[in-house]
Amino acid sequence: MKRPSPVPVLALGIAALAVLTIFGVGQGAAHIAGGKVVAILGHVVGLRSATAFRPWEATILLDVRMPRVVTGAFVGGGLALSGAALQALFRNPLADPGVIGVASGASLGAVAAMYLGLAAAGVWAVPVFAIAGASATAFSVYAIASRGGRLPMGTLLLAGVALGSLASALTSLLLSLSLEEYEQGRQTFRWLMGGLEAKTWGEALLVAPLTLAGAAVVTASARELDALLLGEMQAASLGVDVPAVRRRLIFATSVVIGGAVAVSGVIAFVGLVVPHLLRLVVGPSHAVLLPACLVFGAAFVVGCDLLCRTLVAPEELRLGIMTASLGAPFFLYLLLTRRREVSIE
Amino acid sequence: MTAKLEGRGLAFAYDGRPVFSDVSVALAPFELVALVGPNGAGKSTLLHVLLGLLSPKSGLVTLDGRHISELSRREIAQRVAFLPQQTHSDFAFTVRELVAMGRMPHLGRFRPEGPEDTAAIEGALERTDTRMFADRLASELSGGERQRVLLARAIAQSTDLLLLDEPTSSLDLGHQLEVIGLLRALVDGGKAAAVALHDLSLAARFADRIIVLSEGKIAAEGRPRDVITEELLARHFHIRARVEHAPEGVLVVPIAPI
Repeated sequence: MKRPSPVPVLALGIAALAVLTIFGVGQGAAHIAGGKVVAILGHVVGLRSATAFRPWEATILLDVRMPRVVTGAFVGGGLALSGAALQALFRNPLADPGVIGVASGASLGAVAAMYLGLAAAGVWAVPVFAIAGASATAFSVYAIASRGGRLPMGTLLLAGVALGSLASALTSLLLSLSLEEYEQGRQTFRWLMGGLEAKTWGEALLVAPLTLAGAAVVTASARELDALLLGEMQAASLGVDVPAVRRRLIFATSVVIGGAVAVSGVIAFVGLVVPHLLRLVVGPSHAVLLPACLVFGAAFVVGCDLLCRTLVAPEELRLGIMTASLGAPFFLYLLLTRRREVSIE
Repeated sequence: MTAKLEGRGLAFAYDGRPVFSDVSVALAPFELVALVGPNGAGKSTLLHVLLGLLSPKSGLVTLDGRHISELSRREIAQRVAFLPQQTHSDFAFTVRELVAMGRMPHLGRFRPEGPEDTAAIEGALERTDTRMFADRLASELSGGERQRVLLARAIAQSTDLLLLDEPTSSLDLGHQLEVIGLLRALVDGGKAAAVALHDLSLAARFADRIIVLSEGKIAAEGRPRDVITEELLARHFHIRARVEHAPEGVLVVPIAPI
């Protein structure tokens, strides 16, 4: 099987993201045609266009819908990239932010910040707590699973499930405690439902730098991740400082996942489905795979969010429902076809 | 510069269970050292210790006169290539991608492949006779083909020292001779190599020096014709065997377990 060269694949992803963005900001209670969308976006960067638009259309598009799409793009790209990196790091095709409990840890951190009333203290409180929760979970899962120098698949998944469940239980505890205060409970509950509605530029500008910074660190380790896929010994013999790379990548992916969870809640399966589909197309080499995950993960979530808003309009589906109903069957397919690796040793 | 790898008075234990003690090994250019011994004698462990992947309980390993723990993994990888025992990976790299990974220690994180790297990769594919499947997925190859690909990666790494762990274990006779012959040629070209081997005849024919690791220490060491004897095979491999000195070298004919 000959692989397609990476440039057209990435170009296709960028084109898909652009088209979905134009549809995404055009769709809604007030429909804005594609031509107008392009004219409004052009206007922002100082381009004149023959297509006329009304000021309120520009306002809806730029201040209401655009931040939602931008947030979704960064969340999706970040989750897909983190999933790809975690799969290589754990040498486990089923690792993803949700499966190994990192997303639940981030969730717990975010809810703890809200429970402690820190959300009002500053826009960074929730993401900082989410990142702390994500890192603590990732390091714990890693420490438990890598005992004795090995990293068996069964132990990894069980440790992830156990710690993820613990984090979920604590999250539920905090939620039930915070329900006594109506406003705080409502805020926590809405956040836990996940999704992208009512995202503002504040949230978009919060998740963007976290995703880009984390993605830069992860992508800079592309060669090391390639070597790690061959196993710890081989990576080390090729000059990779394995413990340092692991620490760096666990922290970098936790920043990305923590940022994504902080703004959109837990969105399942993006980090699993997107990397696996792309690996089938572009191969396992991370120098290509990671940028492709960023672009296609963004397009996937923007597309899913678009479906959520349009399928049952004027009602909205939850984003997590859409990504999970597309992702869960794929996950089951992996479980069935790779049963040998999934079995507990 | 000629690299020299040396371990002195090495001892190693897994969770308190001693594997070997008081083992000293020195590797020098133009010399092929075969490491033999019964299963579990610690041949792989010794290679891992020499490579700095495991820390010895006592003793020290030096590379070009410097303590190996003072060197970064990358500095070590620029001088020593390692071919581990057969491993499998589910992730589908092409043969060329795998061989190109041998250039990692020279490229670091960002530098793209230059002409020198391409030449090293092409040369390695050529020498191991793997160019014809350069664009195929390594996971689709037979065990023997994969072993040659891993050897190609070690060659592409362009190091003065080679450590190989059972490089012939899954090969048919023809490919065994090819791989060990290639290794011989690399050593004759000035590299130093240590290779863990199960096949005593192969070790005796191609190595300059044999080290027998058994019962936690070096049981014998020296030229193959002096080391490989019927007494040694009985004592350390627990077999009755006939040892013949043929024009091609020392031949070991195993007869029965003792």
